[in-house]
Amino acid sequence: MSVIAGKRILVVEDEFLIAQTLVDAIQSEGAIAVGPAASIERANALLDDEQIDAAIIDLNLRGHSNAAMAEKLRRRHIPFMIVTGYAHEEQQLGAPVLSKPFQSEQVIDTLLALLSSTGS
Amino acid sequence: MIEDPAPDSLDGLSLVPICALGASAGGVTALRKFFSRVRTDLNLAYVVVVHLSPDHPSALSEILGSCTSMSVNQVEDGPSLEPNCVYVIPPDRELVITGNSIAARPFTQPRGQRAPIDMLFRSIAAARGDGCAVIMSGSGADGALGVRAIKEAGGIVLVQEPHDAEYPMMPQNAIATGAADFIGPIGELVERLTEIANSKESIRSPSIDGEGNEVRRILHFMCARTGHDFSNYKRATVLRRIARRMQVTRRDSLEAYAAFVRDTPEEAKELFGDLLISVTLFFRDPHNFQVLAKRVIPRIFEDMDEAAGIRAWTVGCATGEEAYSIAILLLEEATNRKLSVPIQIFATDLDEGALATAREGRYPRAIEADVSEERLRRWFVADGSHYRVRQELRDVVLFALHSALKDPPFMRLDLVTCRNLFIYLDRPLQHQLSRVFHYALKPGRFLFLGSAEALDSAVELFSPLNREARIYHARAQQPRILPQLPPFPDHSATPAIEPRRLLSRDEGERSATFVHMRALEQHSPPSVLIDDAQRIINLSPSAGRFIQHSGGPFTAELPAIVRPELRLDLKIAIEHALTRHRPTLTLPSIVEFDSVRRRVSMHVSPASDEPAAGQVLVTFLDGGDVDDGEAQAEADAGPKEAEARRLYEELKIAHEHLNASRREHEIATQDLRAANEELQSVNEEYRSTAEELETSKEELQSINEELQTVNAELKSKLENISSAHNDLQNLTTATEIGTLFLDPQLRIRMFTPPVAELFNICDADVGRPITNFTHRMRYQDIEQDARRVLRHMSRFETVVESTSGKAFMMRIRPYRTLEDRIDGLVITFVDVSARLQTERQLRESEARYRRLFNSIDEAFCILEVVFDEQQRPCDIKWIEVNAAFERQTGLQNVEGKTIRSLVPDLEAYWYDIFGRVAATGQPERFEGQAASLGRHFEGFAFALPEERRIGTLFMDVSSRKQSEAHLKLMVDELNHRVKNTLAVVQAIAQQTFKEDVVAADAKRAFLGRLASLAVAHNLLTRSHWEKTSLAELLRIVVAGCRPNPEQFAIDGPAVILSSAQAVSLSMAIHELCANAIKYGALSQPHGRVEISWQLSQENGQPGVRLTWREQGGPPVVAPAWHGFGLTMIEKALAYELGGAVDVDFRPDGIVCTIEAALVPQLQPPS
Repeated sequence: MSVIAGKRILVVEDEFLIAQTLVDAIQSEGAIAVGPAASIERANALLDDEQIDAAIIDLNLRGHSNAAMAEKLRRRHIPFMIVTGYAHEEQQLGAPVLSKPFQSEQVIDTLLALLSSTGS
Repeated sequence: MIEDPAPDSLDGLSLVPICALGASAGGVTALRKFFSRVRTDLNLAYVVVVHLSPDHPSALSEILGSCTSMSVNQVEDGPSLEPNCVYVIPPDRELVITGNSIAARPFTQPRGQRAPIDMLFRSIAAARGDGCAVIMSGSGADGALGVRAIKEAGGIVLVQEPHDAEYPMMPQNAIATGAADFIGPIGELVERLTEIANSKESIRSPSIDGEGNEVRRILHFMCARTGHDFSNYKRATVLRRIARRMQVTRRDSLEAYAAFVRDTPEEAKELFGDLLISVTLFFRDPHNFQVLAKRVIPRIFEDMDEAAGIRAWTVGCATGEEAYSIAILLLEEATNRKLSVPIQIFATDLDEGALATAREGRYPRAIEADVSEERLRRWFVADGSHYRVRQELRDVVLFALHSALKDPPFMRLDLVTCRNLFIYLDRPLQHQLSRVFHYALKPGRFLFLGSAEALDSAVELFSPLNREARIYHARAQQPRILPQLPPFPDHSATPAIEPRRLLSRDEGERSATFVHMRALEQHSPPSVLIDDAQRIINLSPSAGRFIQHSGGPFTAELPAIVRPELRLDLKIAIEHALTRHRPTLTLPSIVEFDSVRRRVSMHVSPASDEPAAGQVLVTFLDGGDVDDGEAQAEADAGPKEAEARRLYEELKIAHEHLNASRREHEIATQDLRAANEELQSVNEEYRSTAEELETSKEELQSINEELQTVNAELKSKLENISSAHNDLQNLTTATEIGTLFLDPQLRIRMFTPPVAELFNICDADVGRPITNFTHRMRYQDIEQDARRVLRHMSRFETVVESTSGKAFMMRIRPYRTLEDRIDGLVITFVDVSARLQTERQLRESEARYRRLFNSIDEAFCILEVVFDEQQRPCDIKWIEVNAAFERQTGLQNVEGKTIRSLVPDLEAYWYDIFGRVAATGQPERFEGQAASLGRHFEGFAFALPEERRIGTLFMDVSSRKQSEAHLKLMVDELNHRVKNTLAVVQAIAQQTFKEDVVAADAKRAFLGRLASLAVAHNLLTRSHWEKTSLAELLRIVVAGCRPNPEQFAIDGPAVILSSAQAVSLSMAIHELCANAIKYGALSQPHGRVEISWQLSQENGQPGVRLTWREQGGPPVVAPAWHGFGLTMIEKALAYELGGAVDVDFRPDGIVCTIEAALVPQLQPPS
């Protein structure tokens, strides 16, 4: 079994269709998608209420920066990856970045890498 | 007058005889010639003075050393004089002789007034009393005063012949003093010097005692020749002068010289001149003159008779310095008191040559030593190497040939100065002279003597006012008696008669002698004591009745006033007593006293045994009454009575005749006396006329001199004028400036050729009014302008144009004569066409540049970079900025200010850039931010020719920078959106194609979905991807599905959607629409879809509720459809709108309700 299976993955993405694609990809690997959350408030609520093993976040939620969320995750030592339409700058956040549009396989590979490194 | 003689005491010492040589320009040649010829065994010490430059060492001693075998030394520190040695003046020093040593000392006079030759000669004269002085080639008058001093002291003066000298001026000036003994070329001077040196010993000092007779003889000869007797002059002085003449004439004994004087009339005059040789100075004995100025002159002015003015007499004025000194003091006092009184100074001397010099009033520059600079300026005029007294000063002094001892003195004087004359006179002569002065002075007025003189011999006439300064004033109480002139032999005219009291009174009353004497006095006959001039000295008590003064002026002569009957006998008897010193007893004469006839005899005898006394005692003896009878009886007595009677008759007749002739004689005497008085007054008049004539002559002479000067001046002026005229002529023809001279009536006086271009005038028109002529100018006001200039005496200037198109600068200014009078006009025309053209071009060019400068959009400024000590730019100053500068920087009025003062926080790199450009001169492009200005500049800086100046051309590119940033943002955003959209498309594709649908259907559905996405994007693009109107969105999405528009009803209030809402809503509506066309109401022709919405408030949150309602379609089977479309509607919409979506599959048609929150700022404006 993959390390992803059974893991609870938080998805923060305002675009429903993209969020759905991510959820589909996670679920296809046997992991549990938490969310998706379309707003920062919702994402924070989920982060506080649910047990989260890893997170996939979009940095721009309806025009609002999600950098605070990334910081919060790092403080909680929750591995996360970033999906974004922007070109640069996200590298600074110390997390892998997946540039839109992406393949579901890329998402999985990245998640695998994230979880393997933390799990070991 | 005669200079104070050299101290006789030095004569005895064995001083080395000195030969002093003075030379200046051209002197080195003369000195070489001199020393190469002079014998080296003359036992003379040679002292050489030349005018050396004070700044350079002198090689003169080496030069002279090469000419003679004598030792030649430059004087350093007061060596003793050795015979046969040469002493040379060192630079910047003057030489002074004291005793037997010579000293070089620094100059006492400022440069330019130095006269080292005079200084040396004067010191020799003062220290030695003899010596030789030689004046050689040179310019200037140095030495002229010195040779006089030498000569006066008994020295010999040799002067180089002016023709022989390279520069003749100094010899000429020395000769002009009259002091030169020998004049000749150098060779002859050397011979003379040799003779003098050889003869010197033998005639060194003629013995006073032994040679007294010879001296008297010499003076006697001289007196015979010149009329002036020097026998009462001090013997030592006279001897010294005679000794000097002996040297000059090469006589080695007094006898030989006496013979020479006797045989040679010229020599007597020469000796006379030598005796009169005098050295006099301005303000000699300055201290005494100060006392005179302070204490005497003011008193003269205080009690002065203004009408008579002030009269002074300078006795022995010599060359006039003293007289002028006195005149200066008097004039200065008069100026101080602001008085204008007549001042007359008589200056007299025996020396006609000296008087001529005095009259000329021209003195060498060396008088600078004696006269203060201020007085020189005030009273003298510089005249080449001399000073000449100003006319004002000259006018008050009258010079005359006059002997104070021989000629009558001047009268009513306020001041007599007689300096250094007394010392040459013996005591009786001194006394005589002081009586003359006393007589000449007004009572209480002043006598000023020389510093070595005193008036001890005449204390009864003068009392000292200031003994040190030798100033005396005349005693007023003494009878002022003019002593007899000439004074030789001296005898007192006033007999000293003591009333003879043989015994004292007390004693006398008791003695028989006294009784006897008194009886004698009472009973002795009346008597009269007379002097040798027959004037009454004393009368006895009763002698008066024998005196009968006849009419006419009062006289004291006894024979004239005794009773007429006694006069004849008395005269004869007095004559007898005076000449033969014998007593006479006259025969009785009959004298009528008040009709009583008495017989009177007279006894006339010399009063004393001393014949020289000249006094005569006349005693009248009364013989008693005579009556006619007695006389008749006498006549009748005796046999020879008839004869006697006849004789008596004859006698009587003769007597009467005698009486008559005596009366006639008396009348004649009276007449003569009157005539004499007349003559006397005529004589006085003549005297004053002579004085006036002398003055006039002097005036005429000076006028003549003035005229000559004026003539010379006029001549040179004429030459100047002629040359000026030539210049003017050439200027006139050569000048290209039209110049027109007009007189006050605007008549042409002169013009230059270019004027003819403007006015139709030719040379023949000079003298005609310019207004009569036409001119070629487009200006008609010249005449008014000219008259205005004449009226206001101001200049006028304008540019006029000629008809030929040229432009002229016309200047009209008043014609000022040298006397500063306005006498017409000068009009000049300067062709300024080219200048105007150039000016215009320059102006245009300037304007073009200015326009460019100010119209370019870029800011342009000229800056001056200020560097600190380390050559780092520390500040920058705006010199000039253009109009755009303010626009580009927002700064105003910066010119002349500095960046530090206006923009203190400007970034350092601006200073670096501008400093670099200014320092290196290399132009640079720059770009940078000026944060304090909130601007970003880009531009170009380049160095200007002026040091530290640069020009910068720059623009504010802040907005471009902002656009660029914005653009980048936009690109990023676009990138984001594209990628996001691609991700959405990817998701749509994924969702669409994952279902088990026919590929064709999937494709159609996918394309439809993409189209709806595109529609949403279209709308968003139109509104800049920010917001869109709900109604419009619906209309376009619906239209994209191409339904029948009739079947749709869209209605609701205006609502603005966000971009995300718009995208998801458009896709949802697309799905609803596609489903309705395929399966729902729109599949039927009569089916209708109604879309409506209302604004709502939910939990205080503004929102919108939208309802999609289908009607008239086939019956709905729930769920009629699912999959992506429904997901899109139900989930995606709810997810993205943040609201609720409900799809109700009612049988009569689907009703979809969508609730969405409206983002507040997206609310439509009301």
